[in-house]
Amino acid sequence: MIGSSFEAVLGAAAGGDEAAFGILWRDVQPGLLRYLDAFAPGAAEDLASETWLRIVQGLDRFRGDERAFRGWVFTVARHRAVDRWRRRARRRDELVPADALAGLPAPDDPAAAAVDAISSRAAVALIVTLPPDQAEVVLLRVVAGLEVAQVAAITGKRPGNVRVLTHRALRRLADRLATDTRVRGAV
Amino acid sequence: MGPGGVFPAEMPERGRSLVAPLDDDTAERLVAGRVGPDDAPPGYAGVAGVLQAAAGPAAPDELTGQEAALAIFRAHRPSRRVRRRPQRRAPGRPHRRARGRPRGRARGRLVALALAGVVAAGGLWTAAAAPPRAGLPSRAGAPPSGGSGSGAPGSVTQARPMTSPVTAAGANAPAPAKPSAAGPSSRNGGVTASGASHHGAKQHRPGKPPKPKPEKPKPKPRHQR
Repeated sequence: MIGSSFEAVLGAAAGGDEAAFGILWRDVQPGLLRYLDAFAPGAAEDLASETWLRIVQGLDRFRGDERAFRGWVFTVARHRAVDRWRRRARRRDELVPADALAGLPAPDDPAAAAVDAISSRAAVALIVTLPPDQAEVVLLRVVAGLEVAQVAAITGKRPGNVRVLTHRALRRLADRLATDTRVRGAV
Repeated sequence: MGPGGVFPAEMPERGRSLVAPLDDDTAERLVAGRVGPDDAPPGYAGVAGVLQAAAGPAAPDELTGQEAALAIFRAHRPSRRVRRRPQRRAPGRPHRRARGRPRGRARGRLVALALAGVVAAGGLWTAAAAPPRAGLPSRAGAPPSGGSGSGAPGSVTQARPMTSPVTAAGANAPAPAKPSAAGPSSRNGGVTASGASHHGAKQHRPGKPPKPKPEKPKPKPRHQR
C-alpha cells in the first residue's frame, strides 16, 4: 500500500507523470499477477497488460482513495479474466500445447506447492485448491487487500456471504494443512 | 476425486473439522495478515503462514513487465489525450458544433420550404374548391336533377347528387346501359353518377364525402343549355 501519499501520486499519474504511474504499477502489479494467475494460468501477464491499458485510459476520470483504486483495478482485471474465459469457452476445440500443461503444477497437490513452502507463488497455489468461490474471496481479500464490501461488489455476492466464504476457506485450509504432514512440516 | 480437486482421503469429513471455527475478529486479522504463525489460534498457524506469504512482497519476476506497462502509459496517458484534442480540430476542421451550424441552417431552410409548399398547396386547394361552393346557391335548385337530395342542404347525401351529373349522364347517348351496370352500387346513393364518368365509383368509398372537383360544375351549364 502506498499510504498517505497516494492522492498525490495518483494526481501526478493522471497528469501524465511516468514515475508516479510506476509507483502505482509496482504497488498493484504483484497482487494483480497472483490473482490473475490463479484463474488464468499462463495468461496472467497478458490480462494484466489489458487491465493496465484500461486503467491508464480511465486514470484521469478516477476519483477515490487507494482502496477504491485497488478495487477498481481488480474489478477491471476480473472482467478481463471473465472475458477470456468466455472466449475460451466458445472455442472448446482449441488445442492446448503439451509443454504448457507440463509446466503447470497439479492443482490438488499441496506438496508441490510446499516445495518452496513460504513463497507467495506456492501460497497462492495452495489457496487455488479451494473451491473457486472461496479461493477468489480469499485472494481478493488477502492478495488484493480489499475490504469485505469491495469483494462483495466485485464478485456480486452479499457481504455476509463473503464473510461466510472466508471462514469456510480458512477452516478448510487449516484442515488441509493439518492432514498433509508434508505441508505441515514445510510450513 | 472429490469436489475442489481434493482426494476424499484428504478431505475432512463434513461437520468434523480438525480445527475449531474462528470468530470474526480473528478471521479478519488473519486475512489482513496481522496474525503470524506464532500468534495464530490452535490449528491455524499454517494458515497464517500461507496468507502472509500470499500477500508477501513482490518477487523479482513479478516486476519484469514495468517497461511494457510504461510503454502503455506513454501511448495512452491522459495528458497525451488532452493535448491531442485541439490538434485534431486545428488544421482547418471546424469544431463539431461549428460544422453542425450550416447543417442546422440548411435543415431550417428545408423545413421552411416544405412549410411554404404546404401552405401554397393548401391555398391552391382552397382556391380551387371555392368556386363550386360559391356556386352552391345557384345549384341548390339542382336536387331535382339528382332526385335523391332529401337530406339537409349541407349534408353529404345531398352533396353527391349535386356533384354528380346523373341527369346529364342519363341524357347522353352512351349512358343508358351504364346505370344498370352500376345498379348495385347505386344503392350507396349517388353513385349512379359515376356511370357517366370514367373516374369510376370505386374512387369514392361509401360514407366518405367526395372531393369537390372544380371540373364538375362545367357540365352543369352545358346541361342547362
